[in-house]
Amino acid sequence: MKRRGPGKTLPLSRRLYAALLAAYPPEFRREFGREMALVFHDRCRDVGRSGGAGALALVWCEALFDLAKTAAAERAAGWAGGGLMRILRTVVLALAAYAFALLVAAPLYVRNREALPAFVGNMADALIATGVVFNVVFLVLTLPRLAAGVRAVHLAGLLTALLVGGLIVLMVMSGGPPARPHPSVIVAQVLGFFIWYAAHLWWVLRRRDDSPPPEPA
Amino acid sequence: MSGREPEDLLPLTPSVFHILLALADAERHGYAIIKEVEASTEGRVRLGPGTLYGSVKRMLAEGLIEESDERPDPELDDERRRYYRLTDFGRRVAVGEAKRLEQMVAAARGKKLLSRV
Repeated sequence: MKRRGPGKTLPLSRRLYAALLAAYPPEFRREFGREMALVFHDRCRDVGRSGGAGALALVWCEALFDLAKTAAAERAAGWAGGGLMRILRTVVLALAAYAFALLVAAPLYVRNREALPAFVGNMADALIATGVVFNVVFLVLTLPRLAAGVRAVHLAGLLTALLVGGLIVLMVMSGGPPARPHPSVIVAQVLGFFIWYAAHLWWVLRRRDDSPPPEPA
Repeated sequence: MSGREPEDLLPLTPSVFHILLALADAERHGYAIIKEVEASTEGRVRLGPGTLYGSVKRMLAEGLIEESDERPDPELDDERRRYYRLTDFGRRVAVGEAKRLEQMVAAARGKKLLSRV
């Protein structure tokens, strides 16, 4: 088997490590991510020259252990240093919004749902269904900073599509009424999904909360 | 940082003390700090990037170190790297920690845990 030369392994290691830096809080990554990737690159270069593949594997093991330990510590420090208040504030706001929707908007909607034209009604249903799922998933991803920015929107979109799509498939397979949803219901669900997706993407891009560290040259 | 005494920050974590020692005689960038720590401990301490910059973040916040404005000759080094140097307060903290450790070593010698030099 042909051995991979250090010329190819080094950029690959650098890119992989830079991607793994997503484990750190965004502000830490913005401040030190580029430097950390540079340091790791230098380490791999020096070790690769003198020790070969085995030594490079050891550097990776050390780096992964270091990353797991310190990323958890930085996230915990973020929570302790005011992050917890930010999370509580967001959760309270979200709960208030859901309570308002359930207590005020939902009864009004249920009473007037039948009066709406079919597609408008389906569209409203879709916006509510995908909206509830999308927002909850987005909240669960972003509050503990499991994901941030554009990446969080992509991930929330994927999970929402799987959850809502899976639910529709389950309903169809269970044979409950209606056994086969009207095409306008499916179109409304897809449109509703993309409306929420676009809304989150717009909000995140406005905040510019996602700036991965530039890679070292 | 005014009104604080070096003793307020003691004892230091091993990583922080190693970084202060590495910067005691010269300003260095991240990888140079790692290499200096490794050399001075004969390879026993190897700081990972996360440990280094986690400590650097806290040391900057505590005023122990600062980022250097000066950049080396681009022909000699990568000018995009950030260099760090000790502050006066950082130097006093390093001296305080060294004295504290010296007292502990003396106590260990008094208990005959270490042979006298």
